[in-house]
Amino acid sequence: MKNEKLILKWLNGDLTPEELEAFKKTEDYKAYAKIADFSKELKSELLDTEQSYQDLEKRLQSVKKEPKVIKPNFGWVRYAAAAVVAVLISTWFFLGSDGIDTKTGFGEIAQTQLPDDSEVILNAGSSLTINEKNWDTGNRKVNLNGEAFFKVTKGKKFTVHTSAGDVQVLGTQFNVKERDSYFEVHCYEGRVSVTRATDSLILEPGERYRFLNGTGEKITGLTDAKPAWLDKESLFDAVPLELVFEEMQRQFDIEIEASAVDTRQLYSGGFSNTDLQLALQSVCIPLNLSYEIKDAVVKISPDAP
Amino acid sequence: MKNSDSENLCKEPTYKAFYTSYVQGAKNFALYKCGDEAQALDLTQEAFVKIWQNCADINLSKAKTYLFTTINNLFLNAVKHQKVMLNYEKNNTKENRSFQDPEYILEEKEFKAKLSDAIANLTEAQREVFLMNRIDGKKYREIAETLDLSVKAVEKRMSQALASLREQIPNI
Repeated sequence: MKNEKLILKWLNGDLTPEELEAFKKTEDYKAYAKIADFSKELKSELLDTEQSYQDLEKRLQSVKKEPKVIKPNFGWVRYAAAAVVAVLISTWFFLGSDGIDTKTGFGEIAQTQLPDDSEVILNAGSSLTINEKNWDTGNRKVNLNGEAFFKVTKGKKFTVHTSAGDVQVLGTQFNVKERDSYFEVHCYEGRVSVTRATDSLILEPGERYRFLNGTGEKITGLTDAKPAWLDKESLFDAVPLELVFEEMQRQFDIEIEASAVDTRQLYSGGFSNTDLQLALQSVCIPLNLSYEIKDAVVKISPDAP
Repeated sequence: MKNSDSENLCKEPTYKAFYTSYVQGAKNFALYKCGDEAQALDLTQEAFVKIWQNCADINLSKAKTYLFTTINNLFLNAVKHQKVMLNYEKNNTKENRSFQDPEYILEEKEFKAKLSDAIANLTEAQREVFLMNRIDGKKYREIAETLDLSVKAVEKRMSQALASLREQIPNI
C-alpha cells in the first residue's frame, strides 16, 4: 500500500495540519476518505447501561442461587463440543440434606445450571443433587437419580454418582440415565469413564455401556448425536418391556397395568413423549398387545387370538 | 494470587463501575465478531457473569483484557460463524450530503452496499480492529491494550483491512 505510514497516522488522527494538507493532495486520498467516512456510519446500537446492568443482575442471581427450573433451552445442545453420555437406573438412594436439589415430576423436563456454569437437562421423573460446599475444593460431584444430559465446563474432575455406578468426565457433555436393574451410559462426544462396582471402562464417542440383569455390555458404532428424549422421543434397543412401560409412566404421568402380559420380553423401538395414543400404539402393535385408557390408568392385555 | 486492595471487583460498586465503563465497547466488539446485536449483548453479559464469578482472581488492571478475551472465547465456542453485515445509521448526519441529486444518492447507496459487503469479507481480526477504530473511534494504542496485542500488530491489521477494502471496491 502506498503511503501506508501516512494513512495509518491519518486514521489514528495523528497527522499534523501540514501532513494532512499534503495527504489530501495524494491521488488515493478521495478513495480512502470515502471508505473511512462511510464505515464510520455503520451502526452499533447504544446500550442503556443501567437497564442492561439490571438484566445482568438477574442473570447473576440465577447463577449464584439455587438453580431454578426454567424452560428448557436446547440451544447449546447444537454446539455440543465435548462429550455426551446417557445413564439410567432408579432407587431413591441419595437426597443430600444441604445440597442443591433439582427435581422433575412426571412429564416434565427441566434445565438447571451448576455453580461452575455446567448445564444439565433433566428428563422426566429425575432428581439431581449437589453439595455446593464441596465445589470450591475442586470436587465436582453430582448425585443423579434418573436421566440427565450434561454439558460440563472445562475444569477439574467431574463425577456423576448414581446408585449403579459412577461416570467421570473432564470438561464435556454427557447424558446419564439410571433405572431399577438398568444402567446405561452413552458417550456422544469426548471421553467418559464409567465405574461400576470394581469394574471401570472408558467410552469413546458412539459407544454405549449398558448394565442389565446383572451383565454389562459395550455397544460400539452408534451414530446418534444426542439423546432422543431431547427431541421428545424415547428410544429402546432390546430392553425389557417392563422398563419401556416404566418410562411411559414417567413421560405421561399415567399408571400402566400390565400384569396380564409378559413384561420380560424385549422391545426395540421408540415412542413419542408428547402423544400418549401414538406412544401406546408404537409399543403395543408390534408386540400384539392391546390397550385401554381409563382416566390416568392404562390397561395392557394380549390381543385376542 | 488474590486481590487484597480496596479496588476489588468482588465489591459491587467497583464491579458496577467497571461494567458501566466497558459494556458498550465490549458489546460493540462482540457485534463486530458476530454481526447480531442480540447475540452480541448476550455474549457480553455472559462474559461479565464470568468476571463476577472469578472476581477474586482477576486484577482490576487486567479486567478489561480479560473481558475482551472472554468474549472472544465465548464467541469461538458458541456462535455459529456467519457473515457479519452491519447496517448504516438511518439519519445521515453529514449536512453537506442532504441536497444531492438522485444520481449521487444512488451512487452513494451502491457504495455503501459494496463497502458493508467488503467489510463482511475481511478476516475477523481485521474487521474488529478496523471497526473499533472507525465506529468506536479508538486509537491504536487503546485497541492494542484492550485486545492484548502490540500496537504494531494493530497497525498491521488496519493496513491489511484498508488494502483489502480498497481492492474489493476498485472504482471509488
